[in-house]
Amino acid sequence: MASIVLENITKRFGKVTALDGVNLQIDDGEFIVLLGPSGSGKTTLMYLIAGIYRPTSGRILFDGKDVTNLSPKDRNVGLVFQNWALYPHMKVFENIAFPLTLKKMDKRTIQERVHQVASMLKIEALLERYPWQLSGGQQQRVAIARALVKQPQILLFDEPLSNLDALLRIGVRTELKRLQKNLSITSVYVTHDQAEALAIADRIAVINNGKLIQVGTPEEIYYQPKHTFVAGFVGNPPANLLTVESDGTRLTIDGKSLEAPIELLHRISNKRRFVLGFRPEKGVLLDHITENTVGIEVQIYEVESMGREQIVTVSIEQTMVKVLRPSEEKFHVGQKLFLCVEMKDLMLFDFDTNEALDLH
Amino acid sequence: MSLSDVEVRSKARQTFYSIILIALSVPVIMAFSVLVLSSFANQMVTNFDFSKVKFTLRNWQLLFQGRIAITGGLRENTFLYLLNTAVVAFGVAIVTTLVGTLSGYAISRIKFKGRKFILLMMLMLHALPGSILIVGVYFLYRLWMPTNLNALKYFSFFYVIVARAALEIPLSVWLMKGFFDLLPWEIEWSALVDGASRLKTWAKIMMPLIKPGVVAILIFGFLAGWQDIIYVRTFLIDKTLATFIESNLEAEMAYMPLLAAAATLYLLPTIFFYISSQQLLFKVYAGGIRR
Repeated sequence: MASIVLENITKRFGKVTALDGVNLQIDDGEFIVLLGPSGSGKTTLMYLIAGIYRPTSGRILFDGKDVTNLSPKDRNVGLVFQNWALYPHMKVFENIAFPLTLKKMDKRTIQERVHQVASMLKIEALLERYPWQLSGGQQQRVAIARALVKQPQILLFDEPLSNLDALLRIGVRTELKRLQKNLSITSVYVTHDQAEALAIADRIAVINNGKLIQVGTPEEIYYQPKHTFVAGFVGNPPANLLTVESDGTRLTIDGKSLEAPIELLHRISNKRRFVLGFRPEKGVLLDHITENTVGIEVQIYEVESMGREQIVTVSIEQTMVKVLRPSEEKFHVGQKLFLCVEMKDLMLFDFDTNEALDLH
Repeated sequence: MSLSDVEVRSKARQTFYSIILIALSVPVIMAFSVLVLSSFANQMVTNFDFSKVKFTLRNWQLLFQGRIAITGGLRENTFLYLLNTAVVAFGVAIVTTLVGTLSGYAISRIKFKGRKFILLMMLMLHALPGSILIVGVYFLYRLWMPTNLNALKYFSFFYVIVARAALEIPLSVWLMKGFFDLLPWEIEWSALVDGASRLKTWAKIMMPLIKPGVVAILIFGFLAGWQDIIYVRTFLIDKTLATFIESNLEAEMAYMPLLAAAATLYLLPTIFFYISSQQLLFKVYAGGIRR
């Protein structure tokens, strides 16, 4: 159990900067998810916490103690790798016991502790098998058991669910969250799957190109993105982002002109150009423009059914916009409608910096 | 785990391949069988005239009694030569494997200055045959040679093992580097996070995973030491089977069937290793390890 502080962490591999001045504070017992596309530096950041990499500059503190130059074995962290990294030549029992045998614990204690975590993760029946005799889900439990058995102060997960099939993933996700809450071990979880991040995290840290873009609760990340990157990355489908030109009275979106609501002009503080975003589920497709919304004429491009909902892709002129509607509503390709979004659901970003203009 | 062949090859083709392979092995098998048969006969069976050949175990008896020449009372200690050969062979095998696996690991996994240079030098060294290097190697031998005759005997064993192993090390380092390269980093990191030191990780996690490769270079090293004649003849005070056979071949009154017995004895480990480790060597050449 420990809090983690990352102070101004920079990591370079040769000429490539993997992480650039990252500051992050993780509270004791918190479940934090590092979210970002592949190559964003999220795994690098986790390996820095584990001690596998050393930062080029910056400090790492566990519970206020500087561990920047400590080797992994002295940090007491548990790590679950993406491919689980079980030792193929050892049985499950030996795999889980490995961290304890390295500490030269006596056999009885090792037995006890291995059986304890094994029963917690319901893998007691598998202890005498080899890793290759296990299914993906079972291997993963073994990997978690091995990380837990040494009673680490910090647990690290490197995309632990990405090698599982979709159905299993959701089940394991729930269990992981429960397990973390029960043990209340400070946990850092790396993923590129935004849905996973939203489901599991206490707080999400969004990383792109080695920089921390936004840190916040899943609700904040989803509804109040501070950057177009966050808006365009989180959500399925992600938020629509449109470049808008304004001349002070009218707005031009993709060549189409519409009247600018005063409130909107106020919110963008009369900028000539800005980025307008909205969540697909916040868009409504009607045959007229309703009050207190921003509306624009669109044409239905394609309709994809998702069972409960449908993704309706509409085109303004060149630009495609995705809208999520209940399955009951019927649309046909080529149909002309008005896309309306309520003022309070609009997310506005600066065109040059891509940062949010106002957070309401 | 073995994969069954995808059945795309035609029967006729398979037969064709078999015929070629058998035709290629016939000369080798013939040579070996002539040698083995002669070792049990009163004369060499090289002309395939079996009318005068009588089969007997006498050659083998004489060999182990050390009565090499049919006439004269000269006795040789065959068991000692066998032991010497084994000492040199095992010595070379162990030194090669130890150095090969440790430096293979370092070159594969640890970044340090001159890593590429070392690899290239290794390749250069491997390109030179041992007989070319022998003048320099002999010079070093003279430089460090103890004067005490008893000490010299042990030193010569030590020296021949190290010198012969040095010739095998480049290949084994390259081979081991290749094996270590194939192991995923995550497994090593996992061990480090679990609390293992670098050396422990090497010994407990990495080495067991590349067992086929390790056994392969152990066998290569053993065979290199077992079959060596130039280095043994130059440096070793004592005799091994190789130098023993060689010196008797030169003798005027060489009794060939007895030497055939000695040669058969000398061949046994080689044949044994190649048969027993066939599967393993296939694996090594295919570069495969089970993940």
